[in-house]
Amino acid sequence: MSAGTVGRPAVTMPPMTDQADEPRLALHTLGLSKRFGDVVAVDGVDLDVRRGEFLSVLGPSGSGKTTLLRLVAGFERSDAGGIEIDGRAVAGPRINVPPEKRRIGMVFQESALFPHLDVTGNIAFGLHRGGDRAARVAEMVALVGLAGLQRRMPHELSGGQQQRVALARALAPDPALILLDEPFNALDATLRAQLRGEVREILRLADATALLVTHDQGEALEISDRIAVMQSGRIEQVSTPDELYLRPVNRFVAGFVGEANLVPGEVRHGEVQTMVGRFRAGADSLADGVRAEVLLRPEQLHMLPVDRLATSPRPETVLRVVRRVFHGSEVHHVLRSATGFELEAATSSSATVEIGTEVIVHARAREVPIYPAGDEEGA
Amino acid sequence: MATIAPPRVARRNATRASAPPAWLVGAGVLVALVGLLPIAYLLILAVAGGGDAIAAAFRDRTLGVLGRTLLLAATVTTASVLVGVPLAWLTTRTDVPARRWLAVLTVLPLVVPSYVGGYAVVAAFGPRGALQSALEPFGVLRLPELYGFPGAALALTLFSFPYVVLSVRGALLRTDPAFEEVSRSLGRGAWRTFFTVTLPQLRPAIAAGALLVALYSLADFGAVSLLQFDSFTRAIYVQYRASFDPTLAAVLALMLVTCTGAILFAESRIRGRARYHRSGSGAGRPAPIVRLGGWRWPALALSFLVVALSVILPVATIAFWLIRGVSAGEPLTFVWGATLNSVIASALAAVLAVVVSIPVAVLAVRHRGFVGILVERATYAGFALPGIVIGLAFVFVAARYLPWIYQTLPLLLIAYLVRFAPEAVGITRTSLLQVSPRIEEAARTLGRQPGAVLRDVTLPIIRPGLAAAAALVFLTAMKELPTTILLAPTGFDTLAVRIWSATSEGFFARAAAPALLMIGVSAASLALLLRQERH
Repeated sequence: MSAGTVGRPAVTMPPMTDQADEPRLALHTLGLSKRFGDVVAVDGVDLDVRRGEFLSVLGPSGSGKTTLLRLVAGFERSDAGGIEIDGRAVAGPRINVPPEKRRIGMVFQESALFPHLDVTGNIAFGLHRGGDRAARVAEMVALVGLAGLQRRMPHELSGGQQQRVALARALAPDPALILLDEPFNALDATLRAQLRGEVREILRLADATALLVTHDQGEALEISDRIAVMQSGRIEQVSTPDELYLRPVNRFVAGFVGEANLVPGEVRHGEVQTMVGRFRAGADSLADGVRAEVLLRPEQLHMLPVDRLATSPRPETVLRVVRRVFHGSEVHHVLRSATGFELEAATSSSATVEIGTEVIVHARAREVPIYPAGDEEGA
Repeated sequence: MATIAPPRVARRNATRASAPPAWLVGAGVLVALVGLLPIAYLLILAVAGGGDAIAAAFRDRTLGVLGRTLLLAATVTTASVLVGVPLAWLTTRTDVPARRWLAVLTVLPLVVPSYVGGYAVVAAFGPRGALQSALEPFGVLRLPELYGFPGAALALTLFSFPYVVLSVRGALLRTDPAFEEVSRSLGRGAWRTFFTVTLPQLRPAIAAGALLVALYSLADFGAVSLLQFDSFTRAIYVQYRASFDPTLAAVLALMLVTCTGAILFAESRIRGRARYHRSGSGAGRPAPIVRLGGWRWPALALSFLVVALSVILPVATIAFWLIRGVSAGEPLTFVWGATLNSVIASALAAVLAVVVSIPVAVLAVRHRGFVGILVERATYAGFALPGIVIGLAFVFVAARYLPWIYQTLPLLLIAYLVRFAPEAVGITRTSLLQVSPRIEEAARTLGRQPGAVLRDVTLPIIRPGLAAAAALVFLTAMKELPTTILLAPTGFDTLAVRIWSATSEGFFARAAAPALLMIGVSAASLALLLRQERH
C-alpha cells in the first residue's frame, strides 16, 4: 500500500514515501513532537525502522520513549510532525488514523490479556472470522511454544507464558510493526533473560519488524539490530549495539550505555594528553589548548602497581585502589587519585589488585571518543 | 440513603484524558441533565415565586418545620452516638459475654426500613398496639402519647444508631494498639488512656457515623410520617397533598436539600481527614482485650436492652400481628399483587440504572476531563436529594409539561433512576477502575473500534460488577417509599406503599406480611452492599 491510497495526501508533510528502488520502511517518523502542558515529552523525533529489523528505543524513565511508542500506536496525537507505517501516512497535521487501522501489534508491560477469554480466544481476537482463523491460531500457538495450553485462562498461566500469548496475539493479524512496551519488566531477572532470547527468536521466525521500548541497556544491547538512545524527548544516537558502545556520540550516551570513565585532558599537537596517556584527537581535530574528555571503558584500562615499576612515576598519575566490585568473570577496581578523581578499571577475576595498592594506569586503546570539556550535551 | 458515598478518584489507574467519542458524551450529558432536573426545577419554581417564595421561607410555620427537623436530627444523632460508641467499644475491645453475637446483632437494625421500623414502634407501643392489648386485662386503656417527637426520635434512633457502631468499630479495629501501649508505659491508667488517647483518635469516625445518622433523620419520610411528626419530609408531603401550592413545597424542599447537602459535604471532608488518623500500615496486631470483671453483666444487660428494642421488637411485633391477622382471617393473597408490582418496577429500575451507569462510569474513569468529572458529579447529585424531593419535583414537572406521562410507570422509573443511579455508577466505576486501560488499548491495536472494545472486552470483564449493581438497585428500589407514593400510577400498589397505608390507618395485621418480606429484601441488600465494599 502506498501513501496515495490514503484518503488524503500528506500535502503538508515533506515527501516521506520511499522510491521503488529503496527498501521500504516499516516505520518512518519526521519531526514528531508531543507536549503535555509545559513538558515536551517528544521533541522533533526522526526515526526509521527498516522492515524485518529489531530496533530498540533506550532511555531513562521520563525520556519520552513510552510517549513515542504511544504516538506510533495512535493512543496519543502528535502536536507536530508525521508518522508513516509501512509506507502509509497514519499521523500528520491533517491525518490521524485510529489505532485499530494502523496495522500494528502491541505487547504491554503488564500482559493485558483479555481475562475473560482463553488462550485461543485471545490469539483469535484480532483475526477475521473465517476458515483460516483456526489454522492461524494453531500456527501462532506452535510459534510461541504453547501447544496444549489453548484452553487455559490468562490467570492460569505463568508470567512468561502470558507474555508469549500476548506476543502471539499481536503477531496473529500479521501487523506491519510490533510495538513492545517494556514487555519483560514485570518478570523476575532469570525469566526475563530467558524470555527475551525467545521473543527475539519468535520475531525472527515470524519475519516481523519490532520496535522495543526499554530502560534496560543490557536488554537493548542483547537483542537489538539497532538502538536509538533517547533523552529529554530527543533521539541522541541511532546505531548498532557495538557502534553505540564503542563510539557514543556524546557523554550522555557514553554514560548510559555501559560503564564509562571520562578522563579529562588537554589538546596538544593533535593529541589529547591525559593522566593515563595520549590519544589521537581524530578527524575533526580540536584546537591546541582546548580542554577535552576521553572515554575509556573499564576493560580498556590496565593497572601497573607502582612498586613494580623501574622508574618512579610522576605523582599526579598515581592512583590508589579504594574499592573492588566483584562481577563474576570480571572484577572492577575503583581507583582514586590524590586530587579525589575516580576511575574504574576491570581485570579478570584471577588477576585482581589488592585494595590500597598504588598503581598507574595506561589505556590499551589509541583511538577513543573525545568530547570537548564543559559542553554537557557533548559532541 | 447515602450508604455508598461517591468514591474518591483513584488517579493511579486513570489514563490521561483522551477525547471521548461523541455518542458517549451525548449519553453521559443526557443522564446528567436528568439527574439535575429535580433540583433545577425546584430552583426555577422558587425563583418564579419571587417575593412569595422568600416570604414563605420566613413564615413562622416554615421556620417551625426547620426548627423541629433540626431538633429531631440533633436528638437522634446525639442518642445514636451515646448508644453506638459504647456498643462499638464493648464489642471490639472487651470481654463482654456473647461478644461475637452482639457484634452482629448491633448492626442488624440497619435491615429494618424506616417505615417498617415506624410500623413496629406504632404497632407495639401505639394506641391499640401490642403492649396496650397485653396490658388491657389489667385495666390499662391508654399508654403515654407516642405520636409526634418522642415516637419519631425513638424509631429513628433505634434503626440508625448502627451507622455509628459500624464507623467507630472500624476505627477501633484499625488503630494501632501501640498508641495505647505507649500511654500505659508512660504511666497513665486504663481509664485515662481511654479518654486521652483512644477517644480522641475515634473522633473522626464518630463524626462520620453521626453525620450519616443525621442525614438519615433529615431525609427520612417513612418513620416521621407514620409517627405524625412534622419534619420537612412530612410537611412537604402534607403541603403537596393539601394545596398543590408548588412554591411553598419547593421552598421547603430546597431548604431540606440545603441541609442534606451541607451534611454530605461535611461528611466527605471528615472522611478524607479520617484517613490520616489511621496509624501506619498496621501490622494487624489486635488490641489487647479489656477485662471488665464485675462490669461484664451490666454491660451485657445494657447491650441486650438495645438489641431487644431494635431487633427483637420489630420481629416480635410483626410476628404477633401476623399470627393475630391470620387467625382472624386476614387474607394473605392480596400481597402477591403488590409484590409483583414491586418486583416489576424495581427490576426495570435496576436494568435502567445499570445501562445508564455505563456511559457515566466510562466517562469518569477513562476520559477524566472536564465533561467526565461534571457528568459524574451531576449523577451523584441524587445522593443529596431525599426521595420526597425527587418525587415532588417530578410530580411538578410532569403535571406542568408532560401530563401524558404523569402517573405512569415510565415517570416512576425515571425518578427511581435519579434516586438510584448513583449506587449503580459507584459499583460500575469501581469495577472499571480494576480493568487496566492497557487491555482496552490492546483491543484497539487488534482492530476494534472504541464501541466494539466496550462491547467485546470491557463489559464482559466487568459483568460481575454490573450484576451486583443491578441487584443492589433492585433491592433498594423495592424498599423505596416516598418516590413511589408520589409517582406510582393509580392503583399501582407496591409492598412499601401497602405497609405505609395499612399502618397509617391502623390496620397493623394487614401490614405484617409485607413488612416481614421487606425485612428480608432489606437484609439481602445490606449483605450485598457489605460484600461489595469489602472488594
